[in-house]
Amino acid sequence: MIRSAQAVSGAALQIGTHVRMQLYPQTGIFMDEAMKARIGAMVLSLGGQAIGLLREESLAENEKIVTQRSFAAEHIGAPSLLRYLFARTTEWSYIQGMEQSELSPDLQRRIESQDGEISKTAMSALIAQSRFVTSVQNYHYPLAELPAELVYTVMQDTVRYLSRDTIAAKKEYKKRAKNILADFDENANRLSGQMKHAVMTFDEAELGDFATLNNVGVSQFFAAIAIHTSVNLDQIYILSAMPDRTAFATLLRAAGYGGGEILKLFELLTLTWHDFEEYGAAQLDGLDINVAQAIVSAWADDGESYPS
Amino acid sequence: MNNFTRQNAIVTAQLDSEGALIDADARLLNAHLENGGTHGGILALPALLELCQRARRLDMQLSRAVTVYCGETRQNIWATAKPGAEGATLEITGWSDSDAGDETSESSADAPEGRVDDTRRIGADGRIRLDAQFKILSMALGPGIPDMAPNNYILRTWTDIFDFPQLSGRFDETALWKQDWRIYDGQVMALRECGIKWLVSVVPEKSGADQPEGYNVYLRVVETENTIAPKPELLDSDHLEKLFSGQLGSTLRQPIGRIIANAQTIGEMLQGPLRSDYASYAKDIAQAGQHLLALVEDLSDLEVVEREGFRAAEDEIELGDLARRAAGLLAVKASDHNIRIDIPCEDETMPALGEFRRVLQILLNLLTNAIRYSPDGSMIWLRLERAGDRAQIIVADQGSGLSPEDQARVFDKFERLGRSGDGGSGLGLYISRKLARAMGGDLQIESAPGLGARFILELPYNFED
Repeated sequence: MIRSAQAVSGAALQIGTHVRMQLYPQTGIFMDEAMKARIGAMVLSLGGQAIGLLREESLAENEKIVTQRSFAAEHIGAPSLLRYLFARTTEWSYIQGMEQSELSPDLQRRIESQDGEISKTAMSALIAQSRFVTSVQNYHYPLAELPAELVYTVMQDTVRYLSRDTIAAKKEYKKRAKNILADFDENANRLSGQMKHAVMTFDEAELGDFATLNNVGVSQFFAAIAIHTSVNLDQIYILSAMPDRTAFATLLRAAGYGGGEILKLFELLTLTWHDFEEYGAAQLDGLDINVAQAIVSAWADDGESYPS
Repeated sequence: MNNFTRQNAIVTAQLDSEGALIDADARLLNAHLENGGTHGGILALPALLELCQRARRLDMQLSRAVTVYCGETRQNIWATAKPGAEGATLEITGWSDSDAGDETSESSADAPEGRVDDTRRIGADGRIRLDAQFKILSMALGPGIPDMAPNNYILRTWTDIFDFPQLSGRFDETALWKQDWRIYDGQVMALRECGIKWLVSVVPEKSGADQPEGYNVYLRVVETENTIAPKPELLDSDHLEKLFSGQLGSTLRQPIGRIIANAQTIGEMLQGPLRSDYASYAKDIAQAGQHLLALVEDLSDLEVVEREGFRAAEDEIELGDLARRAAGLLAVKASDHNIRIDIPCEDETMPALGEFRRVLQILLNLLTNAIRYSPDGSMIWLRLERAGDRAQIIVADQGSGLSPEDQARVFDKFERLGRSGDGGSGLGLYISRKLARAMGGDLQIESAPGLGARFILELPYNFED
């Protein structure tokens, strides 16, 4: 058991060294070893799940580790998957860093809503959020939580991987993959739920009224910003992780926040901004919202969905 | 804090396998018509169309937050696309009521411009966004360019940052020409204290007003410090002079650009009503201008590929992805002729070595030809194959085919094989083959009269992938 755990940990670290290079190398994102290892472990976890779904017989522990590792090593070349996992790890680290109560006031009000549909959706969001935090905490990521295109890519690659030595089995694996994909419901995924909720409940003009992250929770806050600015959700997390916070501050300005609020949000997310003196709250206020929106709309154009 | 004010009613629509709108609720139908769509035509809301096509391609249900524009109104909606045997079903929530019942159905003039914009965007090495006063809003100059801190360029006039060697000294610095985007279109631009030069392509942002709201500037590297310029002094003196100040750039592109812009303004009656026959003439003029501009582009490319020592970059590219992109760009043109393009599956790949932009250019040329010379209702195939150390992409059509004599001549310069009046310059295949060979590959044809044609683009296979 210890040997297996070591093997997983070793493979995850090995994978982690590739991760940074695949992620927007020009942005200079800083990733500590723990983050790289977590992303590497999640790739292994996804590979294991896909293999498990396609192979009916259970694998011996050692064979499983080797298979997962080989599979993951092949997948490390998929920047879209790595970007997604990097964004989720960043999201998770913000939630952890804020030591935030999972039941934000906003979510609490929704759960208590007289509208059964809203209450049910909010409850599902709460459960999904709790599952997400626990999963990432345990170096795991549920396959069904990936966007549909990534699930498709992972399943296709797994079919190719499993059948590369046995052509006869390819047809069978393809058939199984098709059945699995046909049953996949992206609407049930946590992030889809967050985004759908943001679309249905927040008017554009009112987004800027959000006083703090505490009111809505990290994930809901980022989902609403993504809807409001039309910038890809994962791209926002990646921007927030760039050492130069100018881009993230501009994005928040485009969403309607004032300089003071932006600095408070940074504080809540424990994001330091070394060049702050150069900018300051007054200068952020001086940045016209329309100009900020025009700037981020270029990022929105460049934001890709999955996979590229 | 907002208390759940958005509408939760579901808007539905049904699309056929080609993306044509078969059935739709009033809100979606109005938005489709406002964006220039027609009854039974291809869905004119690109984000929703793409979602449906992707759902069909993957055979999976997809759900997304999507932004659509209905006239001047922006809508953030939640869309779910469900693939079916005959097409796809769309379900949309979060569509607010503000535009319900809006009967505006004037067709938009912007769709063709949008496609031109897309083509330039994909082929670009970098991009700058400018506001209406030519101040920089955002800038991405592409890989290998030294980073600039945003506060060093944002909201600064772009001529303070960049030089335009062919324009300097030709005008009074204070003159109004600086406010006319057409003067920059087709010019060479240089970054100060950096040996990189770009060819500039300016696209004004759509606006109902007289003046554009801003500009998208697409950049193509024509000279770098250490890669493309084996003889920088030659490029500086002879070739750039020949290319851009030697009448081609400023003397041809600018007036043609003005002709097109003015003819489109007249044709779309943006400045007031006009008799329909006059509007039709103006559209003809605009179309002729587009052909002329395409010829100028071909001539520019000809200059480049005939340059001594011309070499293309050797990037790691994926031919399947390029095939799908090229087909996507020409999908509307093909559907206008009821031609179907059969593309490689999403999971089909063919790693190769070549320059992304140039391979895309070749594929667009081959596909444009195939669409142009194929009968309505026919089919075009894009296939990937490997032959030893060569990666191949094959464009096959059901056109009239070529005799062995014509096959021998088809790659010649200015060769039209007796055809005329179809907008071709006779340079496309010549340039494409030159480009293919510059990338260590080749372009060949297999054909027989009455049996269509197969153009085979070969590139070195990427064993590193």
